[in-house]
Amino acid sequence: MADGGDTPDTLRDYLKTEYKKATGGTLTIEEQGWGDALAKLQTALPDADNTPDVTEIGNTWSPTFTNVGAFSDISDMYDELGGDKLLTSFVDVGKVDGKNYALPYYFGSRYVFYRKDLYAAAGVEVPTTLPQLTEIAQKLHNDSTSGFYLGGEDWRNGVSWIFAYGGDLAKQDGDQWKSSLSDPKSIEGLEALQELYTSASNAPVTEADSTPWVNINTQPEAAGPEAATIIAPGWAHWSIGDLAPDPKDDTKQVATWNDEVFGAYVLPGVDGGVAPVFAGGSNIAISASSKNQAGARELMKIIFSKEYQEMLGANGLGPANSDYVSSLGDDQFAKALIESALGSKLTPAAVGWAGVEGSGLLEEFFGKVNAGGDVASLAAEYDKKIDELINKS
Amino acid sequence: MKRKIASIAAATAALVVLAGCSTPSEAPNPDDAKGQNITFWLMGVTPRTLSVTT
Repeated sequence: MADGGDTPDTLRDYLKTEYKKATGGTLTIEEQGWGDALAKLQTALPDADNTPDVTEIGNTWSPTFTNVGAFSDISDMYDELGGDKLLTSFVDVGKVDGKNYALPYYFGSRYVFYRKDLYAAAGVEVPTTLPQLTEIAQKLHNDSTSGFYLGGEDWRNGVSWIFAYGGDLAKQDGDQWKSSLSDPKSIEGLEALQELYTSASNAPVTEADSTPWVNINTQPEAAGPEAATIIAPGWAHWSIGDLAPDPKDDTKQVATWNDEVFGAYVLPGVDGGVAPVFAGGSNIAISASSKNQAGARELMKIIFSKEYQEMLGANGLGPANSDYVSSLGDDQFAKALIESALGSKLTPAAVGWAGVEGSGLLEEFFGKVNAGGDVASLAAEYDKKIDELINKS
Repeated sequence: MKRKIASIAAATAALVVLAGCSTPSEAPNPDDAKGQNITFWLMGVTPRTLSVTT
């Protein structure tokens, strides 16, 4: 799944206007927080009186919902909505028995943001390997500034270290999935993550849903930032920069990116290149219990139109249709987004994966690893716990 | 620990409820969209402005 992101107001207004033009009806957009969306969907989707007609879902939740018939079969619209041009990995997690139930909405990816001023002061360069990144973070680290700010339970960012060392969260054997935290490569990645966290992050070990763009900015009246380096979804760049009061709302601040102070780079691989990071992004689907199937399909046509796809790209969200990726532009953020997304990975396409995420086991596990626990014994313990859920629909 | 077990049980129970969903077997008539009021759930908020934290 995903996290963060999301559809700016101009795009929401466009959808409402176009839907009205197409059908004469009203499109109501209700915003859900990622934290409780899973539970809300599980309750609302089977209820014809309360279900959303169309919903965005975390891409990693797709198998759980599609396998229990929560979404309408939209295979007949697949070609009309983009067909083979749609992001394959996201299409695949929304399929059951060759039929399309959920399609990609947008893709995102994670990359590294850093403080150029702190790197220059410490005499360090942008790293080209993952071990170098840890060394640099350790040099930059002190009691008030994390060399690399990373929440202890923040598994969605931490999992990139497992992927980078060639490990994975789970492996498929026939039609069954098995948690693979104990795989030697997963262990290697977790030990590297543990070293980074314990030696270069001041973030609380209990912090799961980090907002590290807050920590890399210099807050008003603070001597300096709390973070020299962070990893975050690409859209976080909107929130990183020099802070000033928002002229529209004095309870808020606006961040303006400053190239002199801030920079971005992709998470380097163990031996160079680009590390696979956890893919961000969402899928989209029509509720099977919706009483407005025809209207819902009209909305899908608007969302997958050239105009809307290019609006997504212009707002830094990777368009679902590869024909429109150029709409992301060619600035440093677009380049980092595309470069990191190319090698990014999804969580296991297991029927019970949403249950695993909903259980909080991954937060617990990563928190205990980063608290300095024995990685091998923790991995064995949590493999067993995850195996109890991962194949359950 | 009890709270964790309860949350796992709740998640599993909700998924069992979902298993009762049935997928419409035929595509609807496009004309039926006329005048339909629909709801779209979107996730999250892009933090392009930040709450003051100090």
